[in-house]
Amino acid sequence: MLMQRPSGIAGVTVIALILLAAAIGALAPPYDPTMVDFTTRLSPPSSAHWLGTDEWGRDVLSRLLSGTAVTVAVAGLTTLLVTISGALLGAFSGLAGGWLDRCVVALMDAFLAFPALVLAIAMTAVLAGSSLAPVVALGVAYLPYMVRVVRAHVLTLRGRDFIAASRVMGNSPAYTLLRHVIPNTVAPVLVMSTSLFGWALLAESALSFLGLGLAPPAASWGGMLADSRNYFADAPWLALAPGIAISGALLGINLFGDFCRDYFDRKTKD
Amino acid sequence: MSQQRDPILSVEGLCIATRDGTRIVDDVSFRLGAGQVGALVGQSGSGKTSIGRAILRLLSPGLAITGGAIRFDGHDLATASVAVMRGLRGRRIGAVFQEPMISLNPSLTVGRQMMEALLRHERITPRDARERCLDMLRRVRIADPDRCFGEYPGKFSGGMRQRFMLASVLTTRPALLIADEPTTALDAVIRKEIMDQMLDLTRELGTSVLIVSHDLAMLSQYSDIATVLHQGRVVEQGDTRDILLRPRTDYMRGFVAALPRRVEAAPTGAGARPLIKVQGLDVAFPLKRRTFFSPHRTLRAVKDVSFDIAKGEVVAVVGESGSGKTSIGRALVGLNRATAGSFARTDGPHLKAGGAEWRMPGVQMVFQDQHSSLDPQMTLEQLVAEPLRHDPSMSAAQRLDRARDILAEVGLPGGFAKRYSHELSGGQRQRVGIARAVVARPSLIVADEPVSALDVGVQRQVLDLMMRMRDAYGLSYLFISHDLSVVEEIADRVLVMYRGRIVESGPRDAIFDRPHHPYTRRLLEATPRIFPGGGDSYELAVPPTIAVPAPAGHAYHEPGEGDDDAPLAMITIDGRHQVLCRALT
Repeated sequence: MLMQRPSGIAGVTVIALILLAAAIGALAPPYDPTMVDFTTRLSPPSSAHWLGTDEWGRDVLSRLLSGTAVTVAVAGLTTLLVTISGALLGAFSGLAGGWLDRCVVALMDAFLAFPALVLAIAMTAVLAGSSLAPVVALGVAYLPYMVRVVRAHVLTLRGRDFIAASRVMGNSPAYTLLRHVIPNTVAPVLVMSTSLFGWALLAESALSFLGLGLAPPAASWGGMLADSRNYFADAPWLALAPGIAISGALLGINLFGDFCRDYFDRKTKD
Repeated sequence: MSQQRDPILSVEGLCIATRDGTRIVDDVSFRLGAGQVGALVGQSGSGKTSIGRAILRLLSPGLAITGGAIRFDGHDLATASVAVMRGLRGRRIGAVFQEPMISLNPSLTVGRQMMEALLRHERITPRDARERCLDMLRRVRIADPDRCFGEYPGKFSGGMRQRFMLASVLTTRPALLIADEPTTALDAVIRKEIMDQMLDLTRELGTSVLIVSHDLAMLSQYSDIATVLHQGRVVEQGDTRDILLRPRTDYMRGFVAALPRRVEAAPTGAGARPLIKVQGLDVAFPLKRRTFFSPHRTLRAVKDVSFDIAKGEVVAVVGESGSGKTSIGRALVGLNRATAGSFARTDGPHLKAGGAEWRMPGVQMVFQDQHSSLDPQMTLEQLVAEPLRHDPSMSAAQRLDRARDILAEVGLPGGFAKRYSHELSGGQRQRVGIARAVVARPSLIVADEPVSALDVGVQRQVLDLMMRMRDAYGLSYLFISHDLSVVEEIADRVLVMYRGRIVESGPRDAIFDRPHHPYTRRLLEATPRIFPGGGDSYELAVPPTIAVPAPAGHAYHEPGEGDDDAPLAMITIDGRHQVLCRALT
């Protein structure tokens, strides 16, 4: 199945590359990403510095790899947080119905009224200082999307007779939720999580571009892009490296998301 | 097929294939004369619907006409241009489909939709078009056509919508009407009304009708000639009654033999001690308030219903949709909350309404929609083992063992255990539903229309299985159905529901042979039933019912709105045969 779909292969490859880069960046970057060396300031790509160096003489490849680790960690944790809390909240809300459901929906709609990035910026300001600030900020910003998807799916499931059958057997609501509802929401949740990972990655880059990510000496894609603006004419590689990383990663993740959706569609239609 | 009249529609060697070349209709030919009523008959997958759609050139994407000709009005519809087809559809060929709920556009008024075809195809002023449509609505006996004209379809019942469809299709006086399962979604009484109206009208207009249906008994009342299809091929062609009542081919003999019909009642210990007693059951649903300030209102779906069921007995609940029959079943299994009444086992708990849903041990359910009642993420053995999880004496492995045993018993042995429900056919899924209901050895199974969605042959197998399970495990069934012929075959006793009340109850033979209540009689008269004749032949008849005066001092009560205060009583006719009456004062 995977091998028959070029977009699936491309997506998986890109995601594997990102994870590999993050691992190298976190464990063994070629140079210390924060090491300043004015002798090699703004040098173009060479055999010593494959992607060149920046205005402080730091190795761009090492900074890119270490930035990947940060970005992937933030995006991954955000996705995990949103997926688990969103799926549970959405499933609970859809199953409970009544005023509980209405409260959850109203709250989520209130969050949705703000653009996710604006909400995340506001949250970061509130949580400033904590290294988990971007994760929490993005998590809150994206939670409503997951809740809505899961809740809508649960509402259609709730009308299906196998949920009624579970009640007839005398199963408790909690058991019905865990055994019958959650497993049947895995497909839409996975597809949504993949998109979320992409959004979170982009949003983390945007936050650090605006200087709201990790504090300056640490590397991040958005931060590198922001720094590169002053030297764009003389050192275009500074902008190209994080730019290509961001767009390539997003493209790969979206391809993988499309593949997931097609896969589950076909499986359920079967 | 011999025909004196020139055929108006002539299908010659029609082939329809899917994209990968599988022929789903193979070399089908038939002819339909002017003013004649023809039928395409077959089970699901026989290709009948595709032929109907091919004539309209509205085949679903992925299907294509690969051979043959469809002659109509001097055109070959198999190859006619899109422009020609557009001119024919709606003007010369009309179509009515099964789902009146989805074939009308919910966001346009009934009138707008009716006038569409007229304004499109004829030089006519909107005023005249409106008059023609109103006239047609009157002819399909719609009480207040002017008011209906400006309403949206959502306001009306399925029967009314099908009437609108019919009226709007016939306003252009087409030469050919294609009716694809036009009444399958409707109740018996309404079905008969609509079919009668459809054929009266088309006779008047001289329109030929091609009915596509699986219901041979219904067709034999209305159609002159029939073409029977099986897996895309013609099995038999000819006079409809002949085909049904004197089947010549093996296929038709098997088909007719599988139709449900009355069998001699097995001795079930009439008068045996009841096992289940339901007293004064009421089920009410809160209605949505139109505004926040509107008063709370409720809909009483079930009103003061009492009955009992003995061990091993099959008690059928019949009635039209909305009569409350499903609500009774769902209340007993705890899916609806009873608002009044009690539910007792003579050997166990006595549950009273109020508070939570009823949870009676030993009661299971079989659902109508086999597709939606099985969790798609579970294997068959997991599905069937699930009801056993409340039995602490069994280990997980023992539960799966038992599940596999029951699966084998319902005819899904060995390798089926590890499969998923989407790999099965409709009939197989319903077997899984029955296995799941039976596995925990319940004493009562509530079966809500368990065979209504199945083809005749499969329906026969599932009914046989249900009866075998009853004999093997001493089960009782509350069998909810709108299909009187199935009920006539398997029920020991029948409860006739109408507008939330039981209007008549009694042993099967009493209800079918000596109905008293006017509603029961209407119901029976709307249902043609099949009786064995001599040898291989059969009789199809609607035995006339005889009006019996109500017991002295009483009048039969027809439930309706605002009758909740009338002093009503179930008056005994004889033995256990009872009918709903109102005391005359």
